[in-house]
Amino acid sequence: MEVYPFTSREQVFDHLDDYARQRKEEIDRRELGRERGLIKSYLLEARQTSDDLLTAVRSMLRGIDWHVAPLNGEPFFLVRDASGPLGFLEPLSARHWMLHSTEATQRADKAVNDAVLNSAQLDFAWLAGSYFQAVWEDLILLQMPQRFVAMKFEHQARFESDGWEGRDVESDEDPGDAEQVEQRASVLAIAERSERVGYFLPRLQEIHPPFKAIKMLRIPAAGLRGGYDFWSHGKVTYRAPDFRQGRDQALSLMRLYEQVTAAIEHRLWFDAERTTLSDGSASFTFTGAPVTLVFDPPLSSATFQNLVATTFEKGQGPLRLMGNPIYLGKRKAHIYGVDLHLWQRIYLEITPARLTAVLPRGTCGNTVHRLVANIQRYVAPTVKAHIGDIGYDDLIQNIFLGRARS
Amino acid sequence: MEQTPLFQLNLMLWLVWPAPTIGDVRPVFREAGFALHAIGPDLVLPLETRARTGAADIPTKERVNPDLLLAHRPAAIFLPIECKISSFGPDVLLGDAKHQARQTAALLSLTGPYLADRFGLPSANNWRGYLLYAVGGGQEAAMQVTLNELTERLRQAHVEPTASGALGIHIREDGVYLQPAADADPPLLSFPSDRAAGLKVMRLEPGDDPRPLYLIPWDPSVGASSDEYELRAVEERVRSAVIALIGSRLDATSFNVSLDEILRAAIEVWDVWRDREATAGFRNAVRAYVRRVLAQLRRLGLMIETGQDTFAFAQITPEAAQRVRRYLSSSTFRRGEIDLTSAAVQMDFGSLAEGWL
Repeated sequence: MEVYPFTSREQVFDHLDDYARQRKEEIDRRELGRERGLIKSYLLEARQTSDDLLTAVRSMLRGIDWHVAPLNGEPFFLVRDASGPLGFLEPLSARHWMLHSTEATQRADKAVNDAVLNSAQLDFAWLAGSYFQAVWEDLILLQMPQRFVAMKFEHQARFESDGWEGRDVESDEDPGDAEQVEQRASVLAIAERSERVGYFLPRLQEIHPPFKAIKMLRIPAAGLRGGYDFWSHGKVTYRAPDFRQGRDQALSLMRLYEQVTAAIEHRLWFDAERTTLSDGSASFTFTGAPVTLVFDPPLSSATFQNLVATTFEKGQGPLRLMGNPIYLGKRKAHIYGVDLHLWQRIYLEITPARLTAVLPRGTCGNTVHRLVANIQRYVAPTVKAHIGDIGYDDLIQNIFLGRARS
Repeated sequence: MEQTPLFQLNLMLWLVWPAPTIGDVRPVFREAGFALHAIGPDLVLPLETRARTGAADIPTKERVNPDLLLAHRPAAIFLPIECKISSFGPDVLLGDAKHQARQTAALLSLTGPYLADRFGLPSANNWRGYLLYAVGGGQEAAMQVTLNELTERLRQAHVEPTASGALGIHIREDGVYLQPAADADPPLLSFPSDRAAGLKVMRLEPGDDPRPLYLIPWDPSVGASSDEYELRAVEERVRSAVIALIGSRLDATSFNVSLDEILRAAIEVWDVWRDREATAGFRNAVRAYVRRVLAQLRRLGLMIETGQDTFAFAQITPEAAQRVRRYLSSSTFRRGEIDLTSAAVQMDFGSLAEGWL
């Protein structure tokens, strides 16, 4: 059995820094083999069960074939699965975690995908296009105009036809050309200097809305060549010779994600709140607000019907929501259902013009990120989300820039 | 569609909920600065009011629960809202204990200062109230006549009534409108100069169903609904509550789920009504459904012990958890029948031994 030779977190970071440097040299020499994995960090959201990190991680991973061991008493865990060492699990909090891995992409992706699929405690941290837009506009474009930036855009109109064919697993590989079902898809990549992208991207987005569905953004490394690829399904690929810097970037985005999620839950959680009056009797009121996704232009009738039927009646597709749709005419469906990622309730109204969701207390704010990211990618690239009466984009930008209103 | 009490109640809730300005629903109460203060608050008439209305032979109730109570704190205004499909007259026949005019007289006699004091708000004397009756479209004029008549009777009985008005809920081809009666002047709401045109609160395309998502899917005070949508909505709420509460806990080796948790998850305002007699049949029906689900889960290998209203799951293996999750997310379970209304399931059999089903 292969054993990790590390006795401290510092040793692991030193090792990963060396590893990142070697891989970058191989990239520059165009010698990077597929079996030699770049460093990857998977950003994960867990249902919080305990403030104690060891208890939390064991609870989170129960039912998943991963074995974790704290490294020398530190809140940093070595992870193995049935195939051997998988990586290092690091908490940002009891709810948000990063798994750093040097395993080959295929093996590491599969291990993480399977864990998320089989657990009711674990989900990806979903970075919707709005996160990338905020980082792009407020950081990269303004602060790094001469650096090369890379972006990938992906919009697949998967609900224009009936049924769900193809991948259900998150991947940073492009969808193959051999898709069996004829459908509209836009898969595009840009690698260019920031200021140049800043010039043409708004025009491209206006002409072709799928350019709003950002699937990957490379944040340049400070003072070094290369950068760190952030994927919408919460994965970071290190393409610069410095692990610590990439981890710092990932931590920054996870902090932003955590704050936005907390703000979403604070605003949205629907519940009956009880107060006791002076005579001992109880009074109840509602807390919360709806999340509204606006489709402009509205969905076609076929897309609306396929979205509801595929997701709820056939139980297919990327949203992993279940429930019996109650149709109110041809243009409206209500679903009092369950989000199967974390097995939490969600109430939805879907029309060609809107998707309105009510999140009962306890339903993770992560559901909103996943909904926005997947709707943008598979249904409507121009979708605009509102958290109660504030725009989702504004909420992210305000928190990113430290403005008061969150 | 025919309006129902639950439709009216849920519409009023959406009109005070935070929503984007570009949505289909225009939350006009919220725009005017109102917030939801209480759902179905239990209000008791002051003793002197009971004495004076009694002396003047004005039938009232001693306790009332307006459907909703909105409050505008900066302007110190309470807006109790009562939803009714139809209007009714002011006169109560002798012995008719349930006539709605009794409730109206009681609601009219609850003033702003009284409500503010009851809820413990500072400067209670600065508050004023406005009782709003939201009624089916076309009923607002008749309802206003009743409100005016009862107001006058209370004045003659030396009870200072709160101001009041009736709003008709009109469902038209292009939207849902609130249309005030001629004498009604609800505070802070901006109606168009042509009051008969009404205030549009929901945008509709021709043929659209106006029902919003139901925040409150069931209300014991209106009895069993015969509306198909409302029956299905509450069934799906119960189903999703059972799925979520069991499915999310299966990663533990043991856990408990109580019937009250399921009821609270299915109907967030359950605790508002939980002590009312009318909830007993519903509670029994949900218990019967849960027991049927548990019987199936036992066949999938789960050990479940059932107390009076607590279900204890034990010795859960990861394999059993996967099997149960597969079942709970299957179309078989999703399409399984839920009966919440028949006399058989509403009977009280909570004390019967497990396994009789």
